Amino acid sequence: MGCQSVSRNVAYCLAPEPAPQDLAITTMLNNLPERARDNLACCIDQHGDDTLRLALFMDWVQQQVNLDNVNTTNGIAGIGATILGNRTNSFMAALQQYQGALIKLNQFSRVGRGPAATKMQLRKKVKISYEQLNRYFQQELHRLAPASHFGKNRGTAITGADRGITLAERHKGRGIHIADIHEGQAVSRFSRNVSYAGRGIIAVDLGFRGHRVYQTYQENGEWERELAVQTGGFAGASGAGFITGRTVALTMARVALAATPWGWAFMIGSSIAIGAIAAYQLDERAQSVASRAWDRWVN
Amino acid sequence: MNADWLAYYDAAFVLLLVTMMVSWVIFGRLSMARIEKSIMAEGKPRPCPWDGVGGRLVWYAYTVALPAHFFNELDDRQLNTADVKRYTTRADRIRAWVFMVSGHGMVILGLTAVVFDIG
Repeated sequence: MGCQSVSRNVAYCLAPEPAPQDLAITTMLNNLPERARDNLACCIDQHGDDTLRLALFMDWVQQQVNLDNVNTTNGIAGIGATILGNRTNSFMAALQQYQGALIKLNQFSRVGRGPAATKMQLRKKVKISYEQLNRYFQQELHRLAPASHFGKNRGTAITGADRGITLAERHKGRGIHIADIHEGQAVSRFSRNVSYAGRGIIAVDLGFRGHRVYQTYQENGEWERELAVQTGGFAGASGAGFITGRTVALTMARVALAATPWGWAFMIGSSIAIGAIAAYQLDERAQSVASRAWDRWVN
Repeated sequence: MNADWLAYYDAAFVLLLVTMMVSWVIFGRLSMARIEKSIMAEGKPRPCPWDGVGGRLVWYAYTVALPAHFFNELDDRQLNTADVKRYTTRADRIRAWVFMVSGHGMVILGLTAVVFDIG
């Protein structure tokens, strides 16, 4: 391999003088089976820096819930759906809030007259709402616009609050409709990617569960029972993930509106964490209830 | 826990779980799909574009079942309450309530079991 090329799904250490543990970590990652490396690369592509946090979080959830549980792969659908859905939801809400601030500034500038203090206030609102976006959703923002535009007076309002203000104060205000699916092609592309990822997570979960049923069938076990148990687990986990996520988001929308930027952090974190824990727990419960119910009423 | 009580608990959980699964399909096909088609016929984009697997059904169920003044600006951004309410019929509300009661009942029952270590 020439030094000009970089292989796919291989970890590299970029430090000029790597410490021994850096090399050890790189070797460990590269010794993973190819499939695992492929999955990891997909996960990093989807979640960026959040991959590490997701891994730590999953680890924590598993430790909290049941140390000896062998079914740890279960509940991915519920947990994944909660994380993807709620995070994207919060991101879209923050993006639309920023767009709202830009439109208000644009409307004020179009009139051409008005107190200077109001203009300053509107500008400040634009800056605050961009700061929220930038603080919590940096990785989503960077998927919407080329990296070279950020911090410069280029592209749409997504690249910075100052760029947004410049565009909003123009008479036509072009490039400030960043969150409308109609006009923001990048946003609809982003949403489409997220929806594909959601389908992927469900497919993986169903794959695991289907495999377990097939394994029972091959071992001449009661595969009908296993099917009922896995169906119960899947329905319980995905239902609980979405329902709890929605309930928490509904409550938190009020907190976030009233509070400082901390409200946003609280909203994203709590809806994801509570939804994920509920999904995990309901998966376990539904499976154990379904197996007991089968033994009691069907057998 | 007494074995009798455990049987009651299991029966209630299974009943709620199955009702939720059935009402998910019924509400999704008969109510959500129709409302969504009507909204898109107005030339508006599909609500909750991030959703690829049907999780937005819960968003629809909340909006159909609960009164409009319950939702604030932030909730409105994903699924416009006025748009949904315009196409909501009595049958939709009943289907949404069946889903809401069974779904939330199942989650509450499941989490109660975790807290009180039942089963």
